[in-house]
Amino acid sequence: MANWRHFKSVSLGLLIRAASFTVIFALLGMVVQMMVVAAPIFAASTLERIDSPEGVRGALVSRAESQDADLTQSTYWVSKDGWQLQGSPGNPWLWVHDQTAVPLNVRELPSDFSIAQMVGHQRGLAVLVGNTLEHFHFSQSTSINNVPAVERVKTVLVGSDIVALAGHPRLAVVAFATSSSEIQVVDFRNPNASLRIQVDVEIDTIVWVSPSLIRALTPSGDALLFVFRATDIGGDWRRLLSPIEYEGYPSEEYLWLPLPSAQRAEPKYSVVPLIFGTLKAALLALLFSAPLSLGCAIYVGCFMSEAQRQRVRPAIDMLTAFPTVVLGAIGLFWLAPRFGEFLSALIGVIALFPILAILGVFVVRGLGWRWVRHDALDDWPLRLLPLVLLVIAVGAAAGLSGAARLPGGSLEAYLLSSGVSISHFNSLLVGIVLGLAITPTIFSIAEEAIHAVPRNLAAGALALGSTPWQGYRDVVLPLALPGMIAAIMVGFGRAAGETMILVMLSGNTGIMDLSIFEGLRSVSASLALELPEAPKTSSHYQVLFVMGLLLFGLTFIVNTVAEIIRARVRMRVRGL
Amino acid sequence: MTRLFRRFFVVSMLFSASFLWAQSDDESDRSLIIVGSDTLAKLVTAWAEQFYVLNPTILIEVQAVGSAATPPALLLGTATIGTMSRRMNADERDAFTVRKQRPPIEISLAVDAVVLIVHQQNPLESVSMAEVGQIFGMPGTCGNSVRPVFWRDLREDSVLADRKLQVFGRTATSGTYQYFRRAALCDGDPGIFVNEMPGGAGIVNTVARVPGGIGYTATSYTSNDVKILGIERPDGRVLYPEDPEYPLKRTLYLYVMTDVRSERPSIECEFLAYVAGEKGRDLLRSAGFSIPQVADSQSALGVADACG
Repeated sequence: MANWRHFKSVSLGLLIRAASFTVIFALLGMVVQMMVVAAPIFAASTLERIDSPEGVRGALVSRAESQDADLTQSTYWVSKDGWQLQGSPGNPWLWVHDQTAVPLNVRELPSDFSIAQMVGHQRGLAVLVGNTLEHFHFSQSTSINNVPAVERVKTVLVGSDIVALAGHPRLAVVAFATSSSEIQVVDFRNPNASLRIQVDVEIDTIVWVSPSLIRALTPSGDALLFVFRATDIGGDWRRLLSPIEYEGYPSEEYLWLPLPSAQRAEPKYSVVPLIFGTLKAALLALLFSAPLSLGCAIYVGCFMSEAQRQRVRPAIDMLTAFPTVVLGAIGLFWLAPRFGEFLSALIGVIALFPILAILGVFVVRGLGWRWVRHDALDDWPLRLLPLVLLVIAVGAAAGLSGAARLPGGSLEAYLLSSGVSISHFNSLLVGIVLGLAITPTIFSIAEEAIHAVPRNLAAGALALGSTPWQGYRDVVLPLALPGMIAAIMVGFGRAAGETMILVMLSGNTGIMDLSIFEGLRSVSASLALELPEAPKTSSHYQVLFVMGLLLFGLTFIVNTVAEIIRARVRMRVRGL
Repeated sequence: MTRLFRRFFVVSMLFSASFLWAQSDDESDRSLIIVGSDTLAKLVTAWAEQFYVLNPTILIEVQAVGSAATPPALLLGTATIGTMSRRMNADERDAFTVRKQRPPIEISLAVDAVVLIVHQQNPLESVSMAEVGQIFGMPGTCGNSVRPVFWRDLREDSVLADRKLQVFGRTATSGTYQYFRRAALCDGDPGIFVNEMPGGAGIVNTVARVPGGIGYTATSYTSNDVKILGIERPDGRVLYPEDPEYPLKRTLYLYVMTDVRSERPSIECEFLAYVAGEKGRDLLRSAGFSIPQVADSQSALGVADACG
């Protein structure tokens, strides 16, 4: 019998250990898997020569894009409203529109060029002047008298004589052949990483057959094929993080516009707006949630009787598991349509609660009602609930009537007249609902930290003549403070990783605006919206995984630090 | 501990038993999985319901997640029929061709208009295509444009004056988004200020509630809670979705994975025959679509006939 017991405990122990190791390895495996999926985005571009088109996918070669088919030789670019850019070597460039022709200054666009080619999706121009390649953008949003503006983006010095030049159909990339029989590919986005292949025949024509295939022709008409492989960020990880001057934009911007399945447009993958959105949502949520949950934790941890605490704590712990999609739906259908009124009521409650609560307690005690005597606070705090509800109702009513008295008749109208327009899906709405979602989590951990401080410390302070509040404030709470900070960190981690509320309420607008009345786009919501449908081998998919890893890293670090703090607090308190 | 363990054991046995049972029950191959466009979701669901009533032995499953889901689903065989609110692009077609040694069977299913909608109380009646580009695109996408931020930037006398334009659109993976980007935004970049909603119904419901809202969606999602805008041509005529010349009209496609000619897949053929038939067409019309007049690929009837 004893043997059987021994065997059982040993096998159970093994089972538990095996299970936990499996979980740890599975987690590690997932992270490694995510890294493997995400890694190709950082791969450098490559150029290699192939012998036959079968080396690539068969269909690629047949899909020659007819570049500039309808344009005459000297017309390079046509704006959406009909301005044509015309040029020929030796003459100044011209903007032509119907009968008008506006010559361009040679400083804007050099006239002593030898070859010029469109590059990117009909937005940029690559011009060869002597031994330098210059890359220009055109933009219509900064134009004067409707004439498009010309802007020099980059100048790249190329070593040798160029005999043929071709612009990439989608990216700011050019391929050219030199007189010394060399094929080079220069990426204007990352000019230091130019690719070159030496061939043994003379080349006089070069064309991009598809975004990944270059065909070079010899004077006798033989074709050489080259495969160019580049991710959408051209092997430069800074394009995920730094502001980029994209084609057609007047200034450097952070943009998240993945444009899947767009054949002639440049996808834009700046992760900055999404990280900004995630942090903004999480910080707003904390702003709303931290006072609420910590206040609640201090009350339950310090003042509530043990019997009451045993009843209240599990109830709030249960709320931790409340599905956030339900909160999101409440926000979507109930809160968002009446956000202005909700906000006025909330302001009223926050402004009046302290005054009304204290006043209420004095009045009720003055009346001598037994159920709100001081000792009743410990005994049956729910008796205070009607009073609290009354105070909230009065505060909300005051807020609403105050808003109605504002010029314009409502908070929204008043803000509108002072130049603030509240978006239907805005960051404050997200912050409030997200704050509600993380409140039980923060409460649960903070309360645990407070409760872990031995009560005899507070009792000792009482015995030495302090009031209960002094005892808690000066003895218990300082000891519990690191635990409370850990609670806030865990709450932050949860808010940063939360998805459903953000998908439903944030509007998913990739703008970086500090205003709390504008929408935002978070990493998690972008993953939820785009990952299921992004093609598996696309740069979009890989960038999404990079963001997934960033999000994982952020929450992992925050949660680990919080857990370490909690463990240390537990050790310290145990010694007391 | 022992009791707990025993209980756990019993529960897990029950679980696995039910799992096995469900597996064995699923063996019947009389099932049809249709995946694809959110725009066509309502219609395909209605078709599926009626088709099931007519052929109760065929199990039919509809998944509407977005057009981009169709090519991979057909490629992997998780669905045999897919719908798309845009045409397959060259990459998707290539991938299919390389895998199956033949192009997918493409059917021009229906014609649908993308409509611009505003709140019922918005006095705006029509917009020009240039204004559409300004409202929904990044500055500079369609000619020389400045984005109207407030309603008075768009119409001087708008009663919404200082309210911001709140712009609603679809997410980047939707076919409607891609169609709209090409047809209305001159192939340029959609504005980052556009609120991206996962479904067409969400746009309609939200615009119905937001006085300063404007959005685009497929006709089939519109309701009486929103006002459909006309599109003003340069010559001053205002076109509504019913007009044949309405500029934002597109064809919706249906793709079949199996080769109906050689493999003769009975279920797909039955479904296509139903879709091309009287009952299927009636549902199509009542869902707000029309039947393509000039088809740029095969018609459902043609493919159904080829089934033999």
